[in-house]
Amino acid sequence: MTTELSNVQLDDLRERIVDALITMSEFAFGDYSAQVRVDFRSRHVLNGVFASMNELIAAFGAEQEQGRAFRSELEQKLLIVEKQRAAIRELSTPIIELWEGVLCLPVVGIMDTARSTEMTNSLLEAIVEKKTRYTIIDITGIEVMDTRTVDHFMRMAKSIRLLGAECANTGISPHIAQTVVHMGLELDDVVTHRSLRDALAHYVTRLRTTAVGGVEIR
Amino acid sequence: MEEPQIRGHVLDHTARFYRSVYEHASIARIEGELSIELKAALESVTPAAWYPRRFQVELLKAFATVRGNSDATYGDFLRCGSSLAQPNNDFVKLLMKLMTPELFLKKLPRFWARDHKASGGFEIEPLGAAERGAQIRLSGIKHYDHGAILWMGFIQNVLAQLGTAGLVVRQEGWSWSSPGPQDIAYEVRWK
Repeated sequence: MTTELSNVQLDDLRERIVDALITMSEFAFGDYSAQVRVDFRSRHVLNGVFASMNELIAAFGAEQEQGRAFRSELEQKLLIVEKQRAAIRELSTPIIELWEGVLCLPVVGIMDTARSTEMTNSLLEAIVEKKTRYTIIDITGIEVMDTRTVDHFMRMAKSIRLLGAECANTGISPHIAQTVVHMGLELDDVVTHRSLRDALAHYVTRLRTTAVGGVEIR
Repeated sequence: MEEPQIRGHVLDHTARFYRSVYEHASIARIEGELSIELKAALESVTPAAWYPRRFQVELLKAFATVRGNSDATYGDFLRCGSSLAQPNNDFVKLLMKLMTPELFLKKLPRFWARDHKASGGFEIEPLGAAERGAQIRLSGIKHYDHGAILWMGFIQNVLAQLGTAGLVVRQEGWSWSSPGPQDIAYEVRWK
């Protein structure tokens, strides 16, 4: 059975669809509060379709809102992580001026390339800023010494020397000493002292000698 | 009284229009006229968000500094409004397929309300049975300088897309000396 629509009915149908499409055009440019008008008093064939469209718009709007909330939360968390990272960076490279002209960098934990770069940058900046002559890298708190870690220290020492300062390592534990020898790692270019105290005493003496005699005795 | 507002997509469209049709020096001149507040809004404009309508007035006034109060500028306003009527999404494309010129004029107040808030509105009075067209009144648009000309371009282009032949659109009420009248009347006719 077919039902033919009258011209009036067709015009009404067209107008309702046009109204819905205008609403959808609002939705298309991001207005999720847009709603297609549904005439619930009538039993129009399009009511169900329009109601579904409204549900779709509302659901999409809710998704967008949730997405915005997630993004905002994520941004907040990233901000916190970045702040914490900055705090950790600062704590992981505590450069201490032990004496006028003597800096100390106590290294604790594991050395990787990122941390090594961070440490080297901070140390070199401090050397320039404080016009340091002697730098002590104390590795008492280092956990693992392998070829890469040694390489990091070698590079750090070379950079320090390029700035006209001296660099010494202290705090090498018996275990690390054995590992270094066992692995055949070369630490010849790095001056070592038994302890931080020894290194400091050595450099303070040299500073005093220089101050009194005007010439450093090596 | 609530400040008249306009959708972000109209601002964005207007800015995109002059950036696409003018040369670099003119664009720089227009943008040199804009307030910091408007520049900031344009940098991160949200199409569906509402902005003060004065932003659009500021844009159109800056726009007019390039070629002055001339027929050329009037033409640019019309073209800007006309390009606002170009279908930019599938729903509008579908809309253009389904609408008739008469239905478009009937829905003109909705198109206006879609893009404006607390900012006047259209009243449509179709011509007699023997003629095709309408007398249109856009009222409550005081201080919306040049906005009425943009909308004239919009109406012209939509009706042209809907296949009207011998289309004539006239306006009465706007002039360079009175760019933001309280009301403006349009007469739209086609064969």
